Amino acid sequence: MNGDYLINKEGNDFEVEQLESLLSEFRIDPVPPSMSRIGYQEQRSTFRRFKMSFALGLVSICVVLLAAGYLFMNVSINRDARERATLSLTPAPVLDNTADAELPDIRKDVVEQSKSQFRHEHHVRKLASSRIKRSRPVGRETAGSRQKLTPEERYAYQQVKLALFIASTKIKIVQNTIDRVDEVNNRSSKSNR
Amino acid sequence: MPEGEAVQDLPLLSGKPSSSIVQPEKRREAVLVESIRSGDEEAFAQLYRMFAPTINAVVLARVPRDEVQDIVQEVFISAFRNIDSLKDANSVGPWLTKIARNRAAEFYRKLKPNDELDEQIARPANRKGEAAEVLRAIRSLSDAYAETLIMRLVEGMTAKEISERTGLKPESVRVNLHRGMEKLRESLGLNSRK
Repeated sequence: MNGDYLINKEGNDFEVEQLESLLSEFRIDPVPPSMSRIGYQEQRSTFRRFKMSFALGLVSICVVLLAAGYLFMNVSINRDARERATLSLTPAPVLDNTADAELPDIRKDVVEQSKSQFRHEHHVRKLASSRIKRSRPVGRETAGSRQKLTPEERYAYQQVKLALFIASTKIKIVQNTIDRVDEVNNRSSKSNR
Repeated sequence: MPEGEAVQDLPLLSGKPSSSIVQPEKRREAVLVESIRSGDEEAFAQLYRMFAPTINAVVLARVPRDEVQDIVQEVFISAFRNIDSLKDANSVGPWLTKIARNRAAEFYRKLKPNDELDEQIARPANRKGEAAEVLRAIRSLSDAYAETLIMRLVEGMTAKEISERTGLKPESVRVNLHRGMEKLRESLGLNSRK
């Protein structure tokens, strides 16, 4: 073996030359990588570096939006509930002209009759309204179901309510009368004694 | 020569700073590194041409041939990105070889247990097969011998060039080449012609 050829490539060494020739296929072709590839890698690594921050930012934005949505929904639901409660506490509405227009002609006379009767009994309703407000259940279903009623059903509903008002008022009058009679009787019995 | 003149010629005794003695000599690769740091693309290309054979040898001593080119490119891309972390611009060679060794190790870490390395299985009886056989024999040697032999036999570098690129001492390179060659002969079953 020629040591000089192995170390400094001086002289000849058949064996080493043969190995060089055999292994030359593994020699690298020194073509430097393109700067665009390096730039791409650079961008990718930058994105990778800030990926966690992007994800955290996105998640926090989502959380804020959800919280805001939840608060908004809560406020609007409360407002609706208050409005519905107010509506349900008001006296039964008087049938308006639009409702009349929707009714068939046959029913119009009945509606007119009920209107006059309703006005006639208005003072009775005023007296009873405070008790009714306390006793009437306040709920969304009542308001919701009222909205779904047809004009005929609505009329029937008003009639039933009116009848109940009148009955309760009459009962009250009777009760008052009985109370007064009792009081008179008591007074007379006391005076007799 | 008068005594006073002799003293003046000695920079340390004259009190004048001399860059040639106080500072280490600025090698070509150090100049290239500084140019790369200032964004010179051509300097990067020159550095690549200068060190690609060395890095190729380091990677080829460890990794299947098909993967070598990609890993070499990754080494240089990584070096380009982290060039500011290189403290001593004169030692860019050892720095690059270290990156290459790490990348080769990373390749085997990422390799799944079921992945087969075709290069180790296929052994055709033609010239290509012989080359693969010799390369396999070189790889079976220790890393120091394998790297040095590949730099010499594959890349055609002299001992001096290997020493300059890798930062190894010239004596170490000579020893590695001689002992590595002996072991390669033994491994290939060749007769030593001493």
